[in-house]
Amino acid sequence: MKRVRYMLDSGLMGIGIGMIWFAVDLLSSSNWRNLEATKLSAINFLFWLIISFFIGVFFYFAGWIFNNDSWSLRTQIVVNFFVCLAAWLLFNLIINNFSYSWSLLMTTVISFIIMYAIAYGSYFFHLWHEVNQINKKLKKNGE
Amino acid sequence: MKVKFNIDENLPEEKAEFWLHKMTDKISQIANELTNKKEFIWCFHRGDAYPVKFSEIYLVQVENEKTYVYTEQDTYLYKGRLYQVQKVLPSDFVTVSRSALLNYRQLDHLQILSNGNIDAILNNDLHVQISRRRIKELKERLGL
Repeated sequence: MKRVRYMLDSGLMGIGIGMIWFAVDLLSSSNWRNLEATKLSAINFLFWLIISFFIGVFFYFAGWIFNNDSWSLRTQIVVNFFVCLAAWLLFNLIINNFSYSWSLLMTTVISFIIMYAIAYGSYFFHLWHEVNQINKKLKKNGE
Repeated sequence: MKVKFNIDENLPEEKAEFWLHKMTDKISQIANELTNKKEFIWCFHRGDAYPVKFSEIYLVQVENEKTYVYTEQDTYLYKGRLYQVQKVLPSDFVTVSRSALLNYRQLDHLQILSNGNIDAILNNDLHVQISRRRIKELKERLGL
């Protein structure tokens, strides 16, 4: 039950990041002008909402790589990064009907790096913050 | 969880009662601690058996499939598995990885290493790797 909850949490985080991404993409397509005139396709929106959820769930499963305590964090991140990148490239090829181009590849890789940095950057910032909280508490207890 | 104490010197017998949604490992450990009068475990050092008090234990760690008990200055061998020693230890002991339990009262600080792993540094300068998944449990135990 706990795992299902964590999986759903990860899916909801995926929706959060995905929808920010979707909004930025939508606004940049209109060059950040005439924002009130920008149109949104309901089907497109729903598609990316659901996909964002599944991407979040995928990140949850890919996060199991971090459970391997015998690997250093650096190794875990490298393995996790390439597993997620491979899945993201495959997903982008599928939604583009396997039509391949260098510009598509570059856009896909860059967008992935940004998403990955946001997701895991916030996770590691949170972890660093927790360690600091614990150290402050231990210092206070020791005084 | 709300905690209520009724202190009465004339009480014929002391008792503790829990009102819970479900039984958890933490509650089970606290209950064992309250009912268990034994405050030590038998450990071995150079073939001799010694009773090692819970309060003197800093760390219990599995190395090469053997369970070692670390006190401030000595290391003892415990003839049993980690989960077996965990059952008898009080709630001061926190699982920090699959192979280690530490006494959080002897924890000095945590250190993030350059490779991203997290080490717990104990008051006797002993270092033990702590799993990131266990940080939350440690926080709860410290009342954060």
